[in-house]
Amino acid sequence: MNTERSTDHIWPENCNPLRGGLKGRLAEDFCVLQGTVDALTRYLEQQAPEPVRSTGLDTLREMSRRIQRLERLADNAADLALGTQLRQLRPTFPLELADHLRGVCTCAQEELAACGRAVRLTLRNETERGLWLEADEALLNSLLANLISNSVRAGADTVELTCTENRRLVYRDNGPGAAPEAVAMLTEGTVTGDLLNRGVTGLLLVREYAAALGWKTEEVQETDGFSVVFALPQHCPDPSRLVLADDANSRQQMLAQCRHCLRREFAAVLEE
Amino acid sequence: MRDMDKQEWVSALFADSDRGQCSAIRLYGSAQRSVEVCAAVTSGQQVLEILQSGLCPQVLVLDTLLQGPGLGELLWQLGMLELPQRPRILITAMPYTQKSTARFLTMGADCIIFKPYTLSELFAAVYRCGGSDDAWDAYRVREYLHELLCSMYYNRRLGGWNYLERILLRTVLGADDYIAKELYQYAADGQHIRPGTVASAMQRINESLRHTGPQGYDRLCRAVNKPEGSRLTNLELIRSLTELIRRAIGR
Repeated sequence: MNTERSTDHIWPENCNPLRGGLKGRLAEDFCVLQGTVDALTRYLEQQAPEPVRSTGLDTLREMSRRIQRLERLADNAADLALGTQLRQLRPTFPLELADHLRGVCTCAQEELAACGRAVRLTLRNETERGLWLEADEALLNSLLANLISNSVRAGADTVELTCTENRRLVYRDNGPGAAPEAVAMLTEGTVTGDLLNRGVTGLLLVREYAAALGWKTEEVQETDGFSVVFALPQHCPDPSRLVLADDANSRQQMLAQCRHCLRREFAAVLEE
Repeated sequence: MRDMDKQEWVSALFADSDRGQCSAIRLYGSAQRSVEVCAAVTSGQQVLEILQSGLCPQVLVLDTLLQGPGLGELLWQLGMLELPQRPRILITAMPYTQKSTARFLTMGADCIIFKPYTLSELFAAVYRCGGSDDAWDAYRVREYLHELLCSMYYNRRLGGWNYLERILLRTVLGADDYIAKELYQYAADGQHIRPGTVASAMQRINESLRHTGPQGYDRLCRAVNKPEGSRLTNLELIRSLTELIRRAIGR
Protein backbone atom coordinates (compact mmCIF):
# COMPACT_ATOMS: atom_id res chain seq x y z
CA MET A 1 0.00 0.00 0.00
CA ASN A 2 1.48 3.37 -0.90
CA THR A 3 0.69 5.18 2.32
CA GLU A 4 4.22 6.60 2.39
CA ARG A 5 3.10 8.98 -0.32
CA SER A 6 0.87 10.68 2.20
CA THR A 7 3.22 13.60 2.80
CA ASP A 8 4.44 13.86 -0.74
CA HIS A 9 2.17 16.76 -1.59
CA ILE A 10 2.67 20.47 -1.71
CA TRP A 11 -0.71 21.66 -0.45
CA PRO A 12 -1.57 22.01 3.21
CA GLU A 13 -4.93 21.02 4.63
CA ASN A 14 -6.18 24.62 4.81
CA CYS A 15 -5.70 25.20 1.10
CA ASN A 16 -9.00 23.64 0.01
CA PRO A 17 -10.15 26.09 -2.67
CA LEU A 18 -6.80 25.92 -4.46
CA ARG A 19 -6.36 22.19 -4.36
CA GLY A 20 -9.90 21.52 -5.54
CA GLY A 21 -9.38 23.65 -8.62
CA LEU A 22 -5.98 22.44 -9.68
CA LYS A 23 -4.06 19.66 -8.04
CA GLY A 24 -7.04 17.75 -6.71
CA ARG A 25 -9.15 17.35 -9.80
CA LEU A 26 -6.18 16.81 -12.06
CA ALA A 27 -4.76 14.17 -9.74
CA GLU A 28 -8.13 12.38 -9.58
CA ASP A 29 -8.39 12.32 -13.36
CA PHE A 30 -4.86 11.03 -13.77
CA CYS A 31 -5.52 8.32 -11.21
CA VAL A 32 -8.59 7.12 -13.14
CA LEU A 33 -6.77 7.32 -16.46
CA GLN A 34 -3.83 5.30 -15.12
CA GLY A 35 -6.31 2.83 -13.57
CA THR A 36 -7.91 2.24 -16.96
CA VAL A 37 -4.52 1.62 -18.54
CA ASP A 38 -3.62 -0.78 -15.68
CA ALA A 39 -6.86 -2.71 -16.19
CA LEU A 40 -6.41 -3.00 -19.95
CA THR A 41 -2.79 -4.07 -19.47
CA ARG A 42 -3.75 -6.80 -17.03
CA TYR A 43 -6.56 -7.95 -19.30
CA LEU A 44 -4.29 -8.17 -22.35
CA GLU A 45 -1.54 -9.93 -20.38
CA GLN A 46 -3.97 -12.60 -19.27
CA GLN A 47 -6.44 -13.07 -22.06
CA ALA A 48 -5.45 -11.68 -25.43
CA PRO A 49 -4.02 -13.78 -28.25
CA GLU A 50 -0.94 -12.75 -30.23
CA PRO A 51 -0.35 -10.41 -32.03
CA VAL A 52 -3.07 -8.28 -30.37
CA ARG A 53 -1.40 -8.91 -27.04
CA SER A 54 2.08 -7.60 -27.78
CA THR A 55 0.88 -4.69 -29.94
CA GLY A 56 -1.70 -3.70 -27.34
CA LEU A 57 0.79 -3.95 -24.48
CA ASP A 58 3.30 -1.77 -26.35
CA THR A 59 0.60 0.85 -26.93
CA LEU A 60 -0.44 0.79 -23.28
CA ARG A 61 3.18 1.12 -22.10
CA GLU A 62 3.49 4.21 -24.28
CA MET A 63 0.22 5.58 -22.87
CA SER A 64 1.49 5.06 -19.32
CA ARG A 65 4.63 6.97 -20.14
CA ARG A 66 2.65 9.85 -21.57
CA ILE A 67 0.27 9.93 -18.62
CA GLN A 68 3.31 10.22 -16.33
CA ARG A 69 4.62 13.12 -18.38
CA LEU A 70 1.26 14.89 -18.41
CA GLU A 71 0.88 14.33 -14.68
CA ARG A 72 4.21 15.98 -14.04
CA LEU A 73 3.38 18.88 -16.37
CA ALA A 74 0.01 19.39 -14.68
CA ASP A 75 1.68 19.37 -11.26
CA ASN A 76 4.29 21.86 -12.38
CA ALA A 77 1.65 24.11 -13.95
CA ALA A 78 -0.34 24.07 -10.71
CA ASP A 79 2.79 24.93 -8.70
CA LEU A 80 3.66 27.78 -11.06
CA ALA A 81 0.15 29.16 -11.14
CA LEU A 82 -0.08 29.24 -7.37
CA GLY A 83 3.60 29.72 -6.55
CA THR A 84 3.08 32.77 -4.37
CA GLN A 85 0.61 30.86 -2.23
CA LEU A 86 3.18 28.18 -1.54
CA ARG A 87 5.52 30.40 0.39
CA GLN A 88 3.97 30.66 3.79
CA LEU A 89 1.50 27.81 3.87
CA ARG A 90 3.62 24.70 4.31
CA PRO A 91 5.07 23.84 7.69
CA THR A 92 8.88 23.78 7.84
CA PHE A 93 11.15 21.43 9.73
CA PRO A 94 14.77 21.75 10.82
CA LEU A 95 17.17 19.80 8.64
CA GLU A 96 20.90 19.64 8.11
CA LEU A 97 21.39 20.47 4.46
CA ALA A 98 24.70 18.67 3.80
CA ASP A 99 23.34 15.45 5.24
CA HIS A 100 20.11 15.74 3.26
CA LEU A 101 22.02 16.52 0.06
CA ARG A 102 24.22 13.46 0.55
CA GLY A 103 21.05 11.35 0.52
CA VAL A 104 19.71 13.24 -2.52
CA CYS A 105 22.97 12.63 -4.45
CA THR A 106 22.84 8.88 -3.79
CA CYS A 107 19.13 8.61 -4.70
CA ALA A 108 19.53 10.76 -7.82
CA GLN A 109 22.54 8.79 -9.04
CA GLU A 110 20.62 5.50 -8.63
CA GLU A 111 17.45 6.81 -10.25
CA LEU A 112 19.37 8.30 -13.17
CA ALA A 113 21.17 4.98 -13.67
CA ALA A 114 17.74 3.32 -13.81
CA CYS A 115 16.88 5.69 -16.69
CA GLY A 116 20.10 4.73 -18.45
CA ARG A 117 21.98 7.97 -17.62
CA ALA A 118 25.37 7.68 -15.95
CA VAL A 119 25.77 10.93 -14.01
CA ARG A 120 28.19 11.55 -11.14
CA LEU A 121 26.72 13.63 -8.35
CA THR A 122 29.07 14.75 -5.61
CA LEU A 123 28.70 16.78 -2.47
CA ARG A 124 31.37 19.07 -1.03
CA ASN A 125 30.73 20.07 2.52
CA GLU A 126 32.95 23.02 3.45
CA THR A 127 31.15 23.70 6.71
CA GLU A 128 32.43 22.61 10.09
CA ARG A 129 29.16 21.93 11.85
CA GLY A 130 26.85 21.39 8.90
CA LEU A 131 24.28 23.77 7.51
CA TRP A 132 21.11 23.77 9.55
CA LEU A 133 17.99 25.40 8.19
CA GLU A 134 14.24 25.41 8.53
CA ALA A 135 12.80 24.07 5.29
CA ASP A 136 10.01 22.13 3.71
CA GLU A 137 11.79 19.12 2.23
CA ALA A 138 9.11 18.63 -0.47
CA LEU A 139 10.01 22.04 -1.91
CA LEU A 140 13.73 21.34 -1.52
CA ASN A 141 13.43 17.98 -3.31
CA SER A 142 11.38 19.50 -6.13
CA LEU A 143 13.96 22.27 -6.58
CA LEU A 144 16.85 19.79 -6.77
CA ALA A 145 14.93 17.37 -9.03
CA ASN A 146 14.28 20.17 -11.53
CA LEU A 147 17.88 21.42 -11.43
CA ILE A 148 19.32 17.92 -11.91
CA SER A 149 16.94 16.91 -14.72
CA ASN A 150 17.71 20.23 -16.42
CA SER A 151 21.46 19.52 -16.25
CA VAL A 152 21.12 15.95 -17.51
CA ARG A 153 18.89 16.99 -20.40
CA ALA A 154 21.46 19.62 -21.36
CA GLY A 155 24.09 16.87 -21.57
CA ALA A 156 25.97 17.25 -18.27
CA ASP A 157 27.43 14.09 -16.74
CA THR A 158 28.85 15.63 -13.56
CA VAL A 159 27.00 17.65 -10.96
CA GLU A 160 28.61 19.10 -7.86
CA LEU A 161 26.79 20.52 -4.86
CA THR A 162 28.75 22.61 -2.36
CA CYS A 163 27.68 23.80 1.09
CA THR A 164 29.81 26.76 2.17
CA GLU A 165 30.55 28.20 5.61
CA ASN A 166 28.84 31.52 4.73
CA ARG A 167 25.47 29.75 4.26
CA ARG A 168 25.57 29.34 0.49
CA LEU A 169 24.57 26.34 -1.61
CA VAL A 170 26.43 26.18 -4.92
CA TYR A 171 25.05 23.97 -7.69
CA ARG A 172 27.42 23.36 -10.61
CA ASP A 173 27.34 21.05 -13.65
CA ASN A 174 29.68 20.44 -16.60
CA GLY A 175 27.04 20.94 -19.30
CA PRO A 176 27.02 23.58 -22.04
CA GLY A 177 25.81 26.36 -19.69
CA ALA A 178 22.63 28.44 -19.67
CA ALA A 179 21.32 30.99 -22.18
CA PRO A 180 21.58 34.66 -21.04
CA GLU A 181 17.75 34.87 -20.94
CA ALA A 182 17.61 31.91 -18.57
CA VAL A 183 20.21 33.55 -16.32
CA ALA A 184 18.21 36.79 -16.26
CA MET A 185 15.09 34.83 -15.40
CA LEU A 186 16.76 33.03 -12.50
CA THR A 187 18.45 36.11 -11.00
CA GLU A 188 16.00 38.91 -11.79
CA GLY A 189 12.79 37.08 -12.60
CA THR A 190 12.50 38.59 -16.09
CA VAL A 191 10.71 36.21 -18.42
CA THR A 192 10.96 36.79 -22.16
CA GLY A 193 8.57 35.37 -24.75
CA ASP A 194 11.50 33.71 -26.48
CA LEU A 195 12.36 31.88 -23.27
CA LEU A 196 8.81 30.64 -22.82
CA ASN A 197 8.71 29.45 -26.42
CA ARG A 198 11.66 27.22 -25.67
CA GLY A 199 9.83 25.76 -22.69
CA VAL A 200 11.91 26.47 -19.59
CA THR A 201 9.30 25.53 -17.01
CA GLY A 202 12.00 23.63 -15.08
CA LEU A 203 14.00 26.80 -14.38
CA LEU A 204 10.84 28.82 -13.70
CA LEU A 205 9.96 26.24 -11.09
CA VAL A 206 13.48 26.35 -9.62
CA ARG A 207 13.06 30.09 -9.11
CA GLU A 208 9.59 29.62 -7.63
CA TYR A 209 10.67 26.84 -5.24
CA ALA A 210 13.76 28.82 -4.17
CA ALA A 211 11.55 31.83 -3.39
CA ALA A 212 9.13 29.59 -1.50
CA LEU A 213 12.06 28.30 0.59
CA GLY A 214 13.21 31.86 1.26
CA TRP A 215 16.43 31.30 -0.69
CA LYS A 216 17.96 34.15 -2.70
CA THR A 217 19.41 33.35 -6.13
CA GLU A 218 22.69 35.28 -5.99
CA GLU A 219 24.70 34.40 -9.01
CA VAL A 220 24.25 32.31 -12.13
CA GLN A 221 27.14 31.33 -14.33
CA GLU A 222 26.31 30.73 -17.98
CA THR A 223 29.61 29.61 -19.53
CA ASP A 224 31.91 26.73 -18.61
CA GLY A 225 28.98 24.71 -17.34
CA PHE A 226 25.91 25.97 -15.53
CA SER A 227 26.17 27.06 -11.93
CA VAL A 228 23.88 28.82 -9.52
CA VAL A 229 24.50 30.10 -5.97
CA PHE A 230 21.69 30.24 -3.44
CA ALA A 231 22.02 32.36 -0.30
CA LEU A 232 20.20 30.57 2.52
CA PRO A 233 18.34 32.47 5.26
CA GLN A 234 19.81 32.69 8.77
CA HIS A 235 18.73 29.97 11.16
CA CYS A 236 18.32 30.05 14.94
CA PRO A 237 18.15 26.42 16.04
CA ASP A 238 15.53 25.30 18.49
CA PRO A 239 17.20 22.39 20.36
CA SER A 240 13.93 20.58 21.11
CA ARG A 241 13.03 20.41 17.40
CA LEU A 242 16.54 19.27 16.45
CA VAL A 243 16.14 16.18 18.59
CA LEU A 244 12.93 15.31 16.77
CA ALA A 245 14.53 15.84 13.38
CA ASP A 246 17.37 13.45 14.20
CA ASP A 247 15.02 10.47 14.40
CA ALA A 248 16.23 7.65 12.10
CA ASN A 249 12.72 6.77 11.05
CA SER A 250 11.86 10.27 9.89
CA ARG A 251 15.17 10.40 7.99
CA GLN A 252 14.27 7.20 6.17
CA GLN A 253 10.84 8.60 5.35
CA MET A 254 12.40 11.82 4.04
CA LEU A 255 14.68 9.83 1.76
CA ALA A 256 11.78 7.73 0.46
CA GLN A 257 9.92 10.95 -0.42
CA CYS A 258 13.01 12.34 -2.08
CA ARG A 259 13.42 9.17 -4.16
CA HIS A 260 9.76 9.28 -5.22
CA CYS A 261 10.08 12.92 -6.29
CA LEU A 262 13.30 12.29 -8.26
CA ARG A 263 11.94 9.12 -9.87
CA ARG A 264 8.84 10.88 -11.12
CA GLU A 265 10.80 13.80 -12.50
CA PHE A 266 13.42 11.65 -14.25
CA ALA A 267 10.95 9.08 -15.56
CA ALA A 268 8.83 11.81 -17.15
CA VAL A 269 11.69 13.85 -18.58
CA LEU A 270 14.53 11.49 -19.40
CA GLU A 271 13.01 8.23 -20.61
CA GLU A 272 12.55 9.25 -24.21
CA MET B 1 2.93 -27.74 2.93
CA ARG B 2 0.41 -29.30 0.55
CA ASP B 3 -2.12 -26.51 1.19
CA MET B 4 0.36 -23.83 0.23
CA ASP B 5 -0.95 -23.41 -3.30
CA LYS B 6 -4.62 -23.36 -2.39
CA GLN B 7 -5.70 -19.87 -3.29
CA GLU B 8 -7.71 -17.84 -0.83
CA TRP B 9 -10.23 -15.45 -2.39
CA VAL B 10 -11.15 -12.11 -0.91
CA SER B 11 -14.53 -10.71 -1.94
CA ALA B 12 -14.85 -6.94 -2.19
CA LEU B 13 -17.47 -4.31 -2.97
CA PHE B 14 -16.05 -1.13 -4.50
CA ALA B 15 -17.74 2.28 -4.39
CA ASP B 16 -16.28 5.23 -6.28
CA SER B 17 -18.23 8.17 -7.69
CA ASP B 18 -16.15 8.05 -10.88
CA ARG B 19 -17.74 5.76 -13.49
CA GLY B 20 -14.45 5.37 -15.34
CA GLN B 21 -12.74 4.09 -12.21
CA CYS B 22 -15.59 1.60 -11.61
CA SER B 23 -15.26 0.24 -15.17
CA ALA B 24 -11.50 -0.07 -14.76
CA ILE B 25 -11.96 -1.93 -11.45
CA ARG B 26 -14.43 -4.38 -13.07
CA LEU B 27 -12.09 -5.03 -15.99
CA TYR B 28 -9.03 -5.46 -13.77
CA GLY B 29 -11.05 -7.72 -11.47
CA SER B 30 -12.00 -9.98 -14.38
CA ALA B 31 -8.32 -10.46 -15.27
CA GLN B 32 -7.03 -11.64 -11.88
CA ARG B 33 -7.93 -14.45 -9.52
CA SER B 34 -7.33 -13.14 -6.00
CA VAL B 35 -10.02 -10.53 -5.39
CA GLU B 36 -13.61 -11.22 -6.35
CA VAL B 37 -15.22 -7.92 -7.39
CA CYS B 38 -18.81 -8.38 -6.12
CA ALA B 39 -19.76 -5.01 -7.60
CA ALA B 40 -18.31 -1.60 -8.39
CA VAL B 41 -20.92 1.08 -7.76
CA THR B 42 -21.02 4.87 -7.88
CA SER B 43 -23.11 5.86 -4.83
CA GLY B 44 -23.34 5.19 -1.12
CA GLN B 45 -27.03 4.31 -1.50
CA GLN B 46 -26.15 1.41 -3.82
CA VAL B 47 -23.67 0.11 -1.23
CA LEU B 48 -26.40 0.06 1.42
CA GLU B 49 -28.89 -1.63 -0.93
CA ILE B 50 -26.42 -4.36 -1.88
CA LEU B 51 -25.56 -5.08 1.76
CA GLN B 52 -29.26 -5.06 2.75
CA SER B 53 -30.01 -7.54 -0.05
CA GLY B 54 -27.85 -10.09 1.78
CA LEU B 55 -24.52 -9.89 -0.06
CA CYS B 56 -21.73 -9.85 2.47
CA PRO B 57 -18.31 -9.02 1.00
CA GLN B 58 -15.19 -9.32 3.15
CA VAL B 59 -13.95 -5.85 2.20
CA LEU B 60 -15.74 -2.57 1.38
CA VAL B 61 -13.65 -0.13 -0.63
CA LEU B 62 -15.09 3.36 -0.23
CA ASP B 63 -13.85 6.58 -1.77
CA THR B 64 -13.81 9.76 0.34
CA LEU B 65 -15.56 11.72 -2.43
CA LEU B 66 -18.54 9.34 -2.50
CA GLN B 67 -21.94 11.03 -2.68
CA GLY B 68 -25.53 10.10 -1.80
CA PRO B 69 -24.89 9.56 1.10
CA GLY B 70 -21.36 10.88 1.67
CA LEU B 71 -18.72 8.77 3.34
CA GLY B 72 -19.31 10.02 6.91
CA GLU B 73 -23.06 9.35 6.72
CA LEU B 74 -22.46 6.01 4.98
CA LEU B 75 -20.07 4.82 7.71
CA TRP B 76 -22.65 5.77 10.34
CA GLN B 77 -25.41 3.87 8.49
CA LEU B 78 -23.15 0.84 8.00
CA GLY B 79 -22.65 0.76 11.76
CA MET B 80 -26.44 0.56 12.19
CA LEU B 81 -26.89 -2.36 9.77
CA GLU B 82 -27.17 -5.83 11.24
CA LEU B 83 -24.76 -7.85 9.14
CA PRO B 84 -23.82 -11.51 9.73
CA GLN B 85 -20.17 -10.49 9.52
CA ARG B 86 -18.78 -6.97 9.61
CA PRO B 87 -16.78 -6.26 6.43
CA ARG B 88 -13.36 -4.63 6.70
CA ILE B 89 -13.46 -1.07 5.35
CA LEU B 90 -10.72 0.35 3.12
CA ILE B 91 -10.86 4.08 2.34
CA THR B 92 -9.39 5.56 -0.85
CA ALA B 93 -8.39 9.21 -0.46
CA MET B 94 -6.36 12.08 -1.84
CA PRO B 95 -3.26 12.61 0.31
CA TYR B 96 -4.07 16.22 1.21
CA THR B 97 -7.28 15.20 2.93
CA GLN B 98 -5.28 13.57 5.74
CA LYS B 99 -7.14 15.26 8.60
CA SER B 100 -10.59 14.37 7.35
CA THR B 101 -9.38 10.86 6.46
CA ALA B 102 -8.09 10.40 10.00
CA ARG B 103 -11.62 11.28 11.18
CA PHE B 104 -13.06 8.44 9.05
CA LEU B 105 -10.69 6.02 10.81
CA THR B 106 -12.35 6.86 14.10
CA MET B 107 -15.77 6.29 12.48
CA GLY B 108 -15.20 2.63 11.59
CA ALA B 109 -12.81 2.53 8.63
CA ASP B 110 -9.95 0.04 9.00
CA CYS B 111 -7.28 1.25 6.57
CA ILE B 112 -6.52 3.89 3.96
CA ILE B 113 -4.86 3.92 0.57
CA PHE B 114 -3.84 7.28 -0.83
CA LYS B 115 -4.11 8.36 -4.45
CA PRO B 116 -2.47 8.20 -6.86
CA TYR B 117 -2.43 4.42 -6.70
CA THR B 118 -2.19 1.85 -9.45
CA LEU B 119 -4.91 -0.79 -9.62
CA SER B 120 -2.38 -3.47 -8.68
CA GLU B 121 -1.66 -1.45 -5.49
CA LEU B 122 -5.38 -1.05 -4.82
CA PHE B 123 -6.09 -4.78 -5.26
CA ALA B 124 -3.07 -5.65 -3.10
CA ALA B 125 -4.42 -3.33 -0.38
CA VAL B 126 -7.84 -5.04 -0.61
CA TYR B 127 -6.24 -8.47 -0.33
CA ARG B 128 -4.08 -7.39 2.61
CA CYS B 129 -7.13 -5.95 4.30
CA GLY B 130 -9.37 -9.00 3.86
CA GLY B 131 -7.03 -12.01 3.64
CA SER B 132 -5.00 -13.92 6.22
CA ASP B 133 -1.25 -13.38 6.74
CA ASP B 134 -0.36 -16.69 5.04
CA ALA B 135 -2.58 -15.87 2.08
CA TRP B 136 -0.91 -12.46 1.84
CA ASP B 137 2.53 -14.09 1.48
CA ALA B 138 1.22 -16.37 -1.28
CA TYR B 139 -0.44 -13.37 -2.96
CA ARG B 140 2.84 -11.50 -3.07
CA VAL B 141 4.61 -14.51 -4.58
CA ARG B 142 1.94 -14.78 -7.31
CA GLU B 143 1.93 -11.06 -8.06
CA TYR B 144 5.70 -10.71 -8.17
CA LEU B 145 5.97 -13.75 -10.44
CA HIS B 146 3.34 -12.14 -12.69
CA GLU B 147 5.28 -8.87 -12.76
CA LEU B 148 8.58 -10.62 -13.43
CA LEU B 149 7.33 -12.82 -16.27
CA CYS B 150 5.35 -9.96 -17.86
CA SER B 151 8.46 -7.76 -17.77
CA MET B 152 10.15 -10.54 -19.76
CA TYR B 153 7.25 -10.55 -22.25
CA TYR B 154 6.21 -14.13 -21.41
CA ASN B 155 2.90 -15.00 -23.00
CA ARG B 156 0.71 -16.53 -20.32
CA ARG B 157 -1.37 -18.30 -22.95
CA LEU B 158 1.59 -20.52 -23.80
CA GLY B 159 0.74 -22.48 -20.67
CA GLY B 160 2.84 -23.88 -17.85
CA TRP B 161 2.42 -20.75 -15.73
CA ASN B 162 0.22 -22.51 -13.18
CA TYR B 163 2.76 -25.28 -12.64
CA LEU B 164 5.55 -22.74 -12.22
CA GLU B 165 3.41 -20.74 -9.79
CA ARG B 166 2.67 -23.84 -7.71
CA ILE B 167 6.35 -24.81 -7.63
CA LEU B 168 7.46 -21.31 -6.62
CA LEU B 169 4.90 -21.11 -3.82
CA ARG B 170 6.56 -24.25 -2.47
CA THR B 171 10.16 -23.08 -2.95
CA VAL B 172 9.75 -19.43 -1.87
CA LEU B 173 7.60 -20.09 1.19
CA GLY B 174 8.93 -23.53 2.12
CA ALA B 175 12.31 -25.07 2.94
CA ASP B 176 15.28 -25.04 0.56
CA ASP B 177 15.85 -28.80 0.38
CA TYR B 178 14.28 -29.75 -2.94
CA ILE B 179 15.24 -31.50 -6.16
CA ALA B 180 13.68 -31.02 -9.59
CA LYS B 181 11.93 -34.40 -9.68
CA GLU B 182 10.26 -33.79 -6.36
CA LEU B 183 9.03 -30.34 -7.48
CA TYR B 184 7.57 -31.72 -10.75
CA GLN B 185 5.77 -34.40 -8.75
CA TYR B 186 4.50 -31.72 -6.36
CA ALA B 187 3.12 -29.61 -9.23
CA ALA B 188 1.54 -32.65 -10.90
CA ASP B 189 -0.19 -33.96 -7.76
CA GLY B 190 -3.95 -33.79 -8.07
CA GLN B 191 -3.81 -32.37 -11.60
CA HIS B 192 -4.24 -35.69 -13.47
CA ILE B 193 -0.94 -35.20 -15.28
CA ARG B 194 2.44 -36.89 -15.17
CA PRO B 195 5.52 -35.12 -13.72
CA GLY B 196 7.04 -35.33 -17.22
CA THR B 197 4.37 -32.90 -18.46
CA VAL B 198 5.47 -30.38 -15.83
CA ALA B 199 9.12 -30.86 -16.81
CA SER B 200 8.25 -30.17 -20.48
CA ALA B 201 6.28 -27.07 -19.50
CA MET B 202 9.25 -25.79 -17.44
CA GLN B 203 11.52 -26.36 -20.41
CA ARG B 204 9.12 -24.43 -22.65
CA ILE B 205 8.98 -21.49 -20.20
CA ASN B 206 12.78 -21.55 -19.84
CA GLU B 207 13.32 -21.36 -23.61
CA SER B 208 10.62 -18.75 -24.10
CA LEU B 209 12.00 -16.44 -21.38
CA ARG B 210 15.51 -16.72 -22.77
CA HIS B 211 14.18 -15.70 -26.16
CA THR B 212 11.68 -12.95 -25.22
CA GLY B 213 13.40 -11.29 -22.24
CA PRO B 214 17.18 -11.57 -22.61
CA GLN B 215 17.89 -8.78 -20.11
CA GLY B 216 15.64 -10.33 -17.50
CA TYR B 217 17.17 -13.72 -18.23
CA ASP B 218 20.65 -12.29 -17.55
CA ARG B 219 19.34 -11.09 -14.20
CA LEU B 220 18.10 -14.61 -13.50
CA CYS B 221 21.57 -15.95 -14.36
CA ARG B 222 23.21 -13.48 -11.96
CA ALA B 223 20.83 -14.54 -9.19
CA VAL B 224 22.33 -18.06 -9.27
CA ASN B 225 25.90 -16.85 -9.89
CA LYS B 226 26.05 -17.89 -13.51
CA PRO B 227 27.58 -15.66 -16.18
CA GLU B 228 25.21 -13.54 -18.28
CA GLY B 229 24.17 -15.22 -21.51
CA SER B 230 24.23 -18.70 -19.94
CA ARG B 231 21.50 -21.24 -20.46
CA LEU B 232 19.89 -22.16 -17.14
CA THR B 233 18.69 -25.66 -16.34
CA ASN B 234 15.07 -25.88 -15.22
CA LEU B 235 16.15 -26.27 -11.61
CA GLU B 236 18.44 -23.26 -11.90
CA LEU B 237 15.56 -21.26 -13.36
CA ILE B 238 13.40 -22.21 -10.38
CA ARG B 239 16.22 -21.38 -7.94
CA SER B 240 16.85 -17.98 -9.54
CA LEU B 241 13.14 -17.05 -9.61
CA THR B 242 12.90 -18.16 -5.97
CA GLU B 243 15.85 -15.95 -5.07
CA LEU B 244 14.47 -12.87 -6.86
CA ILE B 245 10.99 -13.30 -5.40
CA ARG B 246 12.39 -13.80 -1.89
CA ARG B 247 14.43 -10.61 -2.26
CA ALA B 248 11.38 -8.70 -3.50
CA ILE B 249 9.09 -9.81 -0.69
CA GLY B 250 11.81 -9.62 1.97
CA ARG B 251 11.92 -13.27 3.06
